Amino acid sequence: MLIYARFHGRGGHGVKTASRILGTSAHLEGFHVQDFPIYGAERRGAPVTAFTKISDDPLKLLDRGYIFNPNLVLVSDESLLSDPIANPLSGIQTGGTAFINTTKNIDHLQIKHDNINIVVGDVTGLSLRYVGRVVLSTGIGAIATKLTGMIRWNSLEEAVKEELQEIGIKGELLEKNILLAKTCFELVYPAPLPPPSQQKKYKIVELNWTHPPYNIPEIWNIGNTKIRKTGSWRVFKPLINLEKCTRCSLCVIYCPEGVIEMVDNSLVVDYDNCKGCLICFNECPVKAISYVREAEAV
Amino acid sequence: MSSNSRYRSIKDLLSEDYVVAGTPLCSGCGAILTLRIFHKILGGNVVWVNAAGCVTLMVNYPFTPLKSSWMYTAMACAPAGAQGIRDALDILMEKGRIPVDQDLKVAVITGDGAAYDIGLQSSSGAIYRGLDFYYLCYDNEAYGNTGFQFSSATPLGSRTATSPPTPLNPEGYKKKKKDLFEIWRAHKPPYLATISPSHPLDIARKIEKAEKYRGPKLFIAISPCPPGWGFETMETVRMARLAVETGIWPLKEAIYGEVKHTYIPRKLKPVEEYLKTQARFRHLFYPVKNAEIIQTIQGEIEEYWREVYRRELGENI
Repeated sequence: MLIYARFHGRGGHGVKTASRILGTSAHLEGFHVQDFPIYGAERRGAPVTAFTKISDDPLKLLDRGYIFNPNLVLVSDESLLSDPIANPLSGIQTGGTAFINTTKNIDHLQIKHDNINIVVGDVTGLSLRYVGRVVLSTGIGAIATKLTGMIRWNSLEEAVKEELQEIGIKGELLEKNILLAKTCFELVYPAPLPPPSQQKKYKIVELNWTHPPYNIPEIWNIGNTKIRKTGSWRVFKPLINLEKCTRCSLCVIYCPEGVIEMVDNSLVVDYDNCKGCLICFNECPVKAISYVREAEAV
Repeated sequence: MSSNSRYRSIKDLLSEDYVVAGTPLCSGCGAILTLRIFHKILGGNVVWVNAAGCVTLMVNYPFTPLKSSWMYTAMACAPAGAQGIRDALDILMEKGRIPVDQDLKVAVITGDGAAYDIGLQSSSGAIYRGLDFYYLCYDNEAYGNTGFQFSSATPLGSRTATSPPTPLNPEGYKKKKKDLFEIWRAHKPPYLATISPSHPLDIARKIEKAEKYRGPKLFIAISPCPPGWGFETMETVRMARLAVETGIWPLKEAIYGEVKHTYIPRKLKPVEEYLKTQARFRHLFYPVKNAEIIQTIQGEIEEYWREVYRRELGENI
């Protein structure tokens, strides 16, 4: 028995902790485990990957390093599916399982891969309901644990307590997280996880062809981060009610990204790059700015 | 505040942006917000010298959010890099190899780690030599880039990765914040100020005033850090404003060492309001309230402002 689980998410949402929760609960169940994350120089909101390897035989876990051929993939943000750098489904084992955190139906996800099982669920919504914040570590960790089909609730509960206490979460907040874990644990059923082939591919992700202006280094370029489209980081989308707005332009000044612009006495938001920090919502003196969950926005 | 300023209302700040969107910095970052406002006022003819820190990541080759030039240096030597660029520009202009109207402003941007700790000597050297440059220190009160370890800018009572509250050490970080403003002021630079992104007009007026002087023009900005301080990203500006209104972050300027406060709160908000909204101070309130530490922090703020009221308003409170 060998499980290669790969977690894809965004920095700050708890992907690393999710992989640790899976690892610790498997360890408490008596399995041999490795877990480790990778992240680049980028920050909260940028794509992050974490890995967990589980086996009943320590000799099967002698190798070290990244997982290129997972049989279980957990994607904590559906916008990552179309991100060429994250490319979460690359190398997934035929017949393996992918969990995708989304409010959409499977048919609406437009996933090209055949011969894999797709499981969907709205962990973001559950986390907002139970914890009040977007913290996906517990939810995604619990779902991964259940999908393996060989870890009991008691081990998961113990693992959630251990991992969250380590990062300073205790008391009422911990209780809420355990409730969230219980809900997510009951949300899905064990999935088929065929053993990963031992064929090595020395690539973390397969990079697809990109349009030349995106990938040719040009040191004379100025202000070209705009083409990176950080809008996919957003969980909540700010909406400006122009009828209520007094054009005081505080949001234009206070936007850290500078994506709100005053054009012809009207406000225009560059949603391609808005990271959804919601400072504009908080600072608007007449409360003309509201927000909705990205998944519900039209 | 000077009434003859070009910047009278927020609308006067709607000029061109020189920092565009799409940086890989955290959502709700206080440092990039400060830099954006600062750059607006400074104009486009700037070369930034950036010591290692969070903001270094905004320029991620081959991408840059800046419409101006940028150079990267090690943590200790951003002001030394600025000296090199300033000298090169001066020599090239003197020899007539670049026209005088293509002169650039040289500006240093570093975090508190480089300004308060690692680069203290090189900034002291540059101020001492009277180098004509701007220095913007974005102070998030810890080494935020590497996972929020304490720096000498960390305030009393803060939890950081290297000063966690423990049963033996329940208050978190035990030392007081280093007073960089006073250290720099001792050099008597032409212009020195503290700024906050919650007060953009104050930033604009201070830069406008600083531009008149030749020599070091130094700015220390509070820059709230959502992941490190532990608050929701939407609270960044409110957190900076609370810091000003509770009096923990005074807005002041010093011209050749003469201090003047640009914002004097008539009634200080209790510092508890600022502390209890941040996870880094949560251990001071939960599970039991550490009234002693909170009182120490409040007491120091009150003592500071009592002195300010006495000196600048001639009041004894």
